[in-house]
Amino acid sequence: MKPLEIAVVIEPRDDATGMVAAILRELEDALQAYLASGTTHVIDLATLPLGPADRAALQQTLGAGEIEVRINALGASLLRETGFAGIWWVRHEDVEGKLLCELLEVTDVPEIVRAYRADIEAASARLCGLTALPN
Amino acid sequence: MDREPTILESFQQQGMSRRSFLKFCAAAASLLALPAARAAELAEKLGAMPRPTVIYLSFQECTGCLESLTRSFSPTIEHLIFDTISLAYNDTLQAAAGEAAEAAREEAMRKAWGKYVLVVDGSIPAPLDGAYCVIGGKSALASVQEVAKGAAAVIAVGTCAAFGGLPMAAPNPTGAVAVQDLIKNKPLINISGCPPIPEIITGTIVYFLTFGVPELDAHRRPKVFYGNTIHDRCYRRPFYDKGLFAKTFDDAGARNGWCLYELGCKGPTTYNSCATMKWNGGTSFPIESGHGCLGCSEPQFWDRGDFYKPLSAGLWHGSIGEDLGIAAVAGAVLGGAAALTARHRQDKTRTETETRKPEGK
Repeated sequence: MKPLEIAVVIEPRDDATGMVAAILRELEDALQAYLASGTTHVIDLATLPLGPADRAALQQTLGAGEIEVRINALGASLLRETGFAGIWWVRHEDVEGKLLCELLEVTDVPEIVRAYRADIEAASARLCGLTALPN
Repeated sequence: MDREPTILESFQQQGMSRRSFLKFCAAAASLLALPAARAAELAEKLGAMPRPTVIYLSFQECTGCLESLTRSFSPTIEHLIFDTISLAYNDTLQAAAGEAAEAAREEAMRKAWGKYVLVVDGSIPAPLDGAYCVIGGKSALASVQEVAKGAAAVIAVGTCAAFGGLPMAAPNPTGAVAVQDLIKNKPLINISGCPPIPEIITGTIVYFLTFGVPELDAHRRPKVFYGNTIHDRCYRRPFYDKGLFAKTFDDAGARNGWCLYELGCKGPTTYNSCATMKWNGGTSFPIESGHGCLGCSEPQFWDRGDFYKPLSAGLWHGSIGEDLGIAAVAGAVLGGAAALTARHRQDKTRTETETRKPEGK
């Protein structure tokens, strides 16, 4: 049997959309708002029509900072400080490695990194249980 | 503990951390396209909220909607939310049966009267006091009316519950009606689809718990999920705009992934998120697998003519021929395009008739 000649045409669309400039402007405002009043901000990258060219340009412009935080909770999360202090590139994946969401967070430390008082209290109680002398 | 555990506490009781919860909230906020300020509010409100009671009633349905919800890849957002709500009654999933199940439902209704969420799956036959669908001696009609009385809101899951769906298809032998035809005095949200996308079902429940009823379209569907047509967001849309159509399911056009409009795709008139949220853990959606959209999230989709005839065929009651090129050029707004082609067709017919007349004589 003669095999079908299947030619799938894939047209690469690699043009920048101009979205990066808009994101940078939003980040600029968000950083100023954070400095003025401590208001944090989140940009959800999934909601923006970013092409591969935009994404690369955004990554290149923001650059890499000094901190990378990896969290294992319901799958991996990677939080990277960008070259601009106060701007974090956050990627949440599920246990199968599928991307749940990708965010740019404007804050000193993303909320998810902090240990909460209630959790520290529970840990303290647990540790006391471990170190208690047997009667 | 006397009170119901909060959603965050029930997360933690299942061995999941606060960070897992925050991550869940971030994913849910992204799914719901919430603005930044509301995303933070979501985590705060949802965490502090008592586990909501949900009563899930199934009537004239095929259980496909529940399959969609429970067979999604695990553990996902859908699983997490279903682990954190208190599903007080679902005759397919619960262990109890018969009188014990009904007693559990009545107890849950009594405890959460005025606060529980009623999810209805399937249409309800209305004639003869609902005699065509009776469960445990009680008609579906009586059940839905009784349970809706104490509900904070009603969510109709699937096209059968939302619009009547397949049971209502001509000649509608049981006189099936949609939930919105029966329940008039409660907030009601329709989540249509045959089945609906699982993330939409859970996303809507999460949104409702946190912020109340979301913004709805004319068919009472959440705009965030049903605001665009499949066609608007379809990756094959550029081919439609260029007038490149597959003519059969195995021609070069089909193999090259051209637009399926001429093969009957109902994408242009179907409002849903399949093209962006996709199915089976984000794998693909029907058009990506090479078949046109059936329009399953729209009212009366079963009786809207041939699945394999182009949408415009319904306007012309005939073949389509070369006019499609014009439809494609007109492109962006289908209504306008169809009107244009219909007009073109009429003009053409008139010319043909006029030309033919002298010949006939």
